[in-house]
Amino acid sequence: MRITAIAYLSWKALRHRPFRSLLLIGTIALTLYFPRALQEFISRSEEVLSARARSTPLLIGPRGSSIDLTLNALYFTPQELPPLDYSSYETLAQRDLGNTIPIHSRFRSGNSPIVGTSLEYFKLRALSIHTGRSMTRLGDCVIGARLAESKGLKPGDTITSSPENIFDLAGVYPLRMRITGILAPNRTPDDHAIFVDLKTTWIIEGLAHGHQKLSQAEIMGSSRNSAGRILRANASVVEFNEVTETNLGDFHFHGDDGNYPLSSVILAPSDKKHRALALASYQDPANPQQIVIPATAVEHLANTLFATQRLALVAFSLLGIAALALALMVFLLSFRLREREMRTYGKIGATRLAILCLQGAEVTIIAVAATILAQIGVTLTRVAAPDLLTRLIS
Amino acid sequence: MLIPKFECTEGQTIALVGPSGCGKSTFLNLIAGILNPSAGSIYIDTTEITALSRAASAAFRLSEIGLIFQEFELVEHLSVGDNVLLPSYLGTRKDQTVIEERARDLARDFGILNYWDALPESLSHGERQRAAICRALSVRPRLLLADEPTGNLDPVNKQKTLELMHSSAKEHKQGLLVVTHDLELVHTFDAVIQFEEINQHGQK
Repeated sequence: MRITAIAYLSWKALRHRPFRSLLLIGTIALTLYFPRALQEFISRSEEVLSARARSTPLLIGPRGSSIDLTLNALYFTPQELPPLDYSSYETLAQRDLGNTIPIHSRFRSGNSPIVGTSLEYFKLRALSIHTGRSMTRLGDCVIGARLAESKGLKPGDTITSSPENIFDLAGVYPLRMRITGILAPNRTPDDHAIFVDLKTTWIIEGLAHGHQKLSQAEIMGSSRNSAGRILRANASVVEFNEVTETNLGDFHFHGDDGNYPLSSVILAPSDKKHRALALASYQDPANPQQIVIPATAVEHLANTLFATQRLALVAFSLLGIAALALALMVFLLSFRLREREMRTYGKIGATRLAILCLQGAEVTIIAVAATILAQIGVTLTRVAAPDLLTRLIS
Repeated sequence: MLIPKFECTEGQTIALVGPSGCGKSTFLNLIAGILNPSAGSIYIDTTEITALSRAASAAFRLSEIGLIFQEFELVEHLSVGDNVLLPSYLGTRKDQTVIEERARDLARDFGILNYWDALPESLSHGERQRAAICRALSVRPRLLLADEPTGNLDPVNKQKTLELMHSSAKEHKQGLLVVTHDLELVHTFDAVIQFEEINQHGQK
């Protein structure tokens, strides 16, 4: 019996029962897909996490979980640790150990993190502006390529920060930010982020604000005290929720800027000696700050992921065996239901081997189709892993 | 069952009649090589099919014996055309191209060419049986064995089916052995044999 004839007859049999065939292909494909996709996802995630961690030499932040600190600085996950004082950053910068880059990633706009930083961050991550220009003043922002694409944003548009608690009347008001540039895509969490100057995040925090001039005569209800020196504003004073060229001069900061918050500081030591000095200076357990080597923190995280993966693989394997046994049973039952057809083949003159070949070909076609489908899924998972990881972590 | 002697010559048509359960179908299966006798020999031309291995017997049947059944035995998921070409797909030793051409010619002659791509379920009983006969004749076998081929057909289709088998047998000098209960139709055969007569005593 010719192999083309076997394939043709088997294909006809499978096509006659499309629902059963597709169900079998789907079941087997999923059984093959899950364990391999998990392996691929974790392996690719480990590569991506490690690559980003390796490009971040050292990280200084408040004492606590080194993984939380690393993920917050690398993936802009919600801030779990208390903030770092700006004075700590200034002290570190004055020590001249290397390049210091502040990160303040407490706020969000929808699901996108707002990252307050300096222009040095763009150099560290090799981020380039694809469209528009860099931020030049308070209230300006540069956004990641994927965010721009998903929201249809372009330079000149605005994006507003999300209030942390909509029922807190005394809380932080949303700030409308002007988009000045779109970054070139680089398939990292930076693609989904909104980058602003550090001072802009302090406006969102409420540490700086802008409002109508209280000296203006038309502001009803403003009053001077008896000495006539202190001007007391009331609710009629309009507070600006957007920095514009006109009101830029009206924005001002309150309090001691040394107490202003940061999430962490990236330190890129100028050489090995300065790296050793930096590491040594945070060894004191009484120090409220810690220094983290992101690559080491990510390695710990990866080890945890691999341990979880092993457990998941055992579970998937058991489920897979059960699913394959069910698929085998479906085949056997199907062949039993088609016994008369097989008997007809035999009566006409098909050998037992030819009939077995026909049955085997049906199983093979289903298995090959399922394997191809699973492989496509695994490849797509591998391609999508960096974005998926960013979404999962963020 | 004991058949001391039975013979069907080239182009001869024989109707085998007898009550249900007397062994007529078993006898056809023995001739076709589907079943093996406990003793004795069956020859088709010069080939002793009882001496062949199971695989060789199947291969011989595929090329040299055309089988027609009461229930048509068409494969439900194959089109009429594919059913007719089934012996070709299953690996008959005869020329595939010739079989395919002949199959189409037969389908045209039998009036089922319009249903070539249709599934058997869309055909009437008569058309299905004609498709089954086409399948049996497509390899141009030396022997045609039919087990109650008209059992499920109306009188018009019965007549037509028998005519088709007879004309093929005469034209191509094929032996035709038909098991039937239908005594009204047996007068068209060269010989009518009561199965009980040949069982135990053999063909006279």
